[in-house]
Amino acid sequence: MGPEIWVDGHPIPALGAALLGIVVGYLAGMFGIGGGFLMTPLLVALFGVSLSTAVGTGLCQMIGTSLVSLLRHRRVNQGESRFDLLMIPGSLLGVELGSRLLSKLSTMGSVQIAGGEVPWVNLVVEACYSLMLSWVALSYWRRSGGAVDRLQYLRPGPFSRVALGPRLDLPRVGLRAVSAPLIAYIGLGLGTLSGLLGIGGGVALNPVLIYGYGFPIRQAVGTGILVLFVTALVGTVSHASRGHVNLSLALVLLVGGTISAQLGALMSKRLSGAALGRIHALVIGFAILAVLWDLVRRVG
Amino acid sequence: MWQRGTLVPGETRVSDVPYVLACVLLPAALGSLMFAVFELWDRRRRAKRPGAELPRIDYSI
Repeated sequence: MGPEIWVDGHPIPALGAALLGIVVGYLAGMFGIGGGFLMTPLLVALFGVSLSTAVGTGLCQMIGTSLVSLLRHRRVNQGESRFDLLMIPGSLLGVELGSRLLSKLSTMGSVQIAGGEVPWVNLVVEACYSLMLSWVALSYWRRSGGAVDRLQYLRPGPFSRVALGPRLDLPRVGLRAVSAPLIAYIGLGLGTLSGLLGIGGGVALNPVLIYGYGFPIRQAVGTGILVLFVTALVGTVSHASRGHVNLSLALVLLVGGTISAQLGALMSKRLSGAALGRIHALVIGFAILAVLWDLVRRVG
Repeated sequence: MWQRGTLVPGETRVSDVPYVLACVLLPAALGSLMFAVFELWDRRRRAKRPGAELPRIDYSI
């Protein structure tokens, strides 16, 4: 049978968990993403891990992966640090809110759907995942059509024109008089998503930076990593104190994932931007199917 | 965060501080180690082919 890890009172194969970490890490390295939005629903769908444990363990694993990104990007000096610093207070509050909301949903019992019982927490969280992943997949499919070239340069977006003061300049990306409270609210929303869904910053923040503010794509990728690291830290403490983190599982996922992420990053150099975008969209489509299958299985 | 009365009704709390610290410190230590190993590997790989532009490892998330 092989070594096993006990999660939520039942064993899961350690090799299977390591394989999941390797696959998600490879895809994360290939597409330059954190992988949290893939890891959490796949832990639930493939191994029957409870949502709370999947979210908490995912955030724990994200400490390692986000630290690697932070160390790397600090040397390259990419991203707008003022944006990061303004987001941190809101995201710290948001991650605690998200954790509490997840705990509250976990205690709410089940709802009857089509003759089957679905826990409220699975219904709400997996519905959020399906909607968000669908939006991300569509945007990557559209971007692979060649529009990505236009994203290399600053194109001030609607969020950069919001007049809510006090305002500040973002010199690294070339934006002036940007609303500071709006950035803090974005941090609050991002933190809440992290605490509730166990996702990192990239999947939610990058579209906001690129399409909302008009950041060049390189600056967008470098921004938010500090917030992600801090959010993963605080989120892990919040979830661990509620007993939602399985440290063994997190370490197995982390070891495999960080190794394969490097291989995925090397592979991405060999693929065209269009091919990467299409593959990315298909992978996310697979994650959506896994989430919906888990919901249908519970109803059925 | 550690005080009574801040829990959601029906929720339990694990008060094992060393475990919570381990959940933070172990992934951070492992991540730092992985970063150091890959940076060393990347430097050696680039040193073997001076002057050639090799694709850098992308750590973006």
